[in-house]
Amino acid sequence: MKRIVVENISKKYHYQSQDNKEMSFRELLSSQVTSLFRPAKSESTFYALQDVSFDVEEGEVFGIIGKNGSGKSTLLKILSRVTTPTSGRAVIRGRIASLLEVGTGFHAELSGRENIFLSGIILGMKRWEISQYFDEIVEFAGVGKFLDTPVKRYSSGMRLRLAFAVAVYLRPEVLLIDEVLAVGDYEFEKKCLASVNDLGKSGRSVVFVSHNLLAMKRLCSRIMVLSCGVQKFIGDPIEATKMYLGGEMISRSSMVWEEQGLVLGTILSLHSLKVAGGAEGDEQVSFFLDQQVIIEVTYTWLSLDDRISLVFSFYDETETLLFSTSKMSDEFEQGADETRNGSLQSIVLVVPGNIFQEGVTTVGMTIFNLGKREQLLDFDQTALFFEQELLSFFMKERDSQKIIGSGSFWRGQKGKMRPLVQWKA
Amino acid sequence: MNEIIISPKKPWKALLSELWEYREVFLFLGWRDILVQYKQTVIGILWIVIRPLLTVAIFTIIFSKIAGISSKNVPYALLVFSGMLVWQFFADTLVHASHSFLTNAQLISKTYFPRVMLPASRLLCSVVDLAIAFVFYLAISMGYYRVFPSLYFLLLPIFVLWLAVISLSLSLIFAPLIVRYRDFRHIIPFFIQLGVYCTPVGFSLSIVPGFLKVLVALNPLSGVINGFRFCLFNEPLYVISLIVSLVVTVIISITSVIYFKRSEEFFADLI
Repeated sequence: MKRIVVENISKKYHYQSQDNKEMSFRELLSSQVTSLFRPAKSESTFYALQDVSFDVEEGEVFGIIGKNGSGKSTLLKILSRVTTPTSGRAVIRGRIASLLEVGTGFHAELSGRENIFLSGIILGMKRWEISQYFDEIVEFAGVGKFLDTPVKRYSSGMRLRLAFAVAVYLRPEVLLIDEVLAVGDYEFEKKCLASVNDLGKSGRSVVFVSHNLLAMKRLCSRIMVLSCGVQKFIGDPIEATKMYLGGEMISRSSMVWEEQGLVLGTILSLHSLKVAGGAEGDEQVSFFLDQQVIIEVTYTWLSLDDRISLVFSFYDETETLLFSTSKMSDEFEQGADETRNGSLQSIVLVVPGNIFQEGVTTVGMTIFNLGKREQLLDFDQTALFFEQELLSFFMKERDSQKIIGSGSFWRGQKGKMRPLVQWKA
Repeated sequence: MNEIIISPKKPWKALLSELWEYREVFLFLGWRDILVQYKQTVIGILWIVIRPLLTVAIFTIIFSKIAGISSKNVPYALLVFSGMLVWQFFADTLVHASHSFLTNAQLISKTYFPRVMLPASRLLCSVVDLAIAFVFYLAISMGYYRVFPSLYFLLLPIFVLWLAVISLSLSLIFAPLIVRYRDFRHIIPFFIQLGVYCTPVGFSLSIVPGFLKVLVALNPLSGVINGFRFCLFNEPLYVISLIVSLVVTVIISITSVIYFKRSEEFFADLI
């Protein structure tokens, strides 16, 4: 069954009425008076959305990608009925919950508890139905202690967690999510993405807007590409992201774990991870094919004698492993006493140029616990950390016109590698 | 399964069925307003009583004692108090309801429910306030002045309903204006400050000369106040004034509903 059917939705904004936003009555009066004598300024309009049509099946996770200002948020606002379309029509079968942009649809004066009920009631649920899910919501959001505190005193992270928990656990048939996960921390984002996946599996439909292309590719069964309010593509996620990246590169070039970092057992805590161009360069997302790519991870040791093995893996757009490389802490540590005093350590991996093919490469990281010093190495130890899609970067041709012979096209396929080879006669 | 249709213009029929669908939101928001009013403020209920009491005292001193306005055979304090019951309901509703979109901007820009629920839910709290002030009125009227309402007292709910319609209608006109033009926030207190003198709160319609009665009746609240006083201490009903007030009410309420529907679609874009 089709849960959402969108037919030729357009939304037109008037520049004038946008300016009206903070226009005072006095200004309005004076502008009205002057327009009596002068011909009215021609009102400029623009289309935030133009003839957008698509449908979403039951149990489908549908993604929307596009640059800022491409109309993604407007589309979700229309679907959640916060604003009306200028023309077109949409039919939604079932209850709709939405998480729109930053900030949440809570009543600031109400407590967390009251807001959970208010959200449920707005969704059209009975109080006893809401009570059924209440504990799950509180647990997921982790706001137990602050249930009776007005939401206005919550941190933005807490508010977001509560909003997400409410939207997911009140089990709406349709969930609209607009780039809200970026506010949360890494752990929470992971939790949310997992819930989105589960929602789809349980027959609910999700419309999902995010800049996290890696997650989008994994979760969505179809992705729509929007550009300046016009739909450019609907279909296969890999095709969609490729098409989108053809226009502009947006990817994640760094990860930062705030405050005390991401604590891994009692062994170490991770602080940051980034892709860079030079040794002490700023993070970078886009490289020429012959440039070296540098991955830097910073961490602090929490234990004095545990050993780890650090593995970096590189994947292409189809999630095929290109290669991976590992190093044990014994090998990169000199003088344990200096490094294990709680100070920030960093490890740098340099991948030389002329290896990666054009396009997006994603970086995964795994950290294994190898046990204490003087222990036998035990590779069956479970990983302390494992993430396949942490960062990504983009490789591109240095010159727009290819030098004949040096390209790597063969029957339209590009191949996985792009080494610098030499031909001799 | 309910089917939601999104289109540029919402048909009136869909709007009405939505009101019923979302009635719980109305009750929840209204109930919440009441709780806030009476739980968090320290003097809670007392405040509801102190405000009219002070106003009545000042009005009595200035208009009755100094200016010497006659209240015919009714104690002047009761005359003012009965007028204040109406005026306070109106003023409180207007202030809170017309600001409800600004104070709840987050809610409006992130979720959907019929927008009218926000200003309308304020009525619940105003009715409770009125009930409390009314009990206090009766205590003074019967306990101190020995003025007992007649059986017409039973007609009072009709006039309360009328009052609610006027209050909500004006709120529905002002609420979108406040969203659009921020200086209406300053206009409303001014409007309320002046309004109390243009409304028969401190005087009775009976002392207004003939043709002026109709002019005063253009303010629909004068009809309501006349009705209240009719129920509470048998002030005569001025039928022509009543009809004028009623007609004005109908015009205002129809205008407000049409105006509100037209503007609510743009709230999220403007707020």
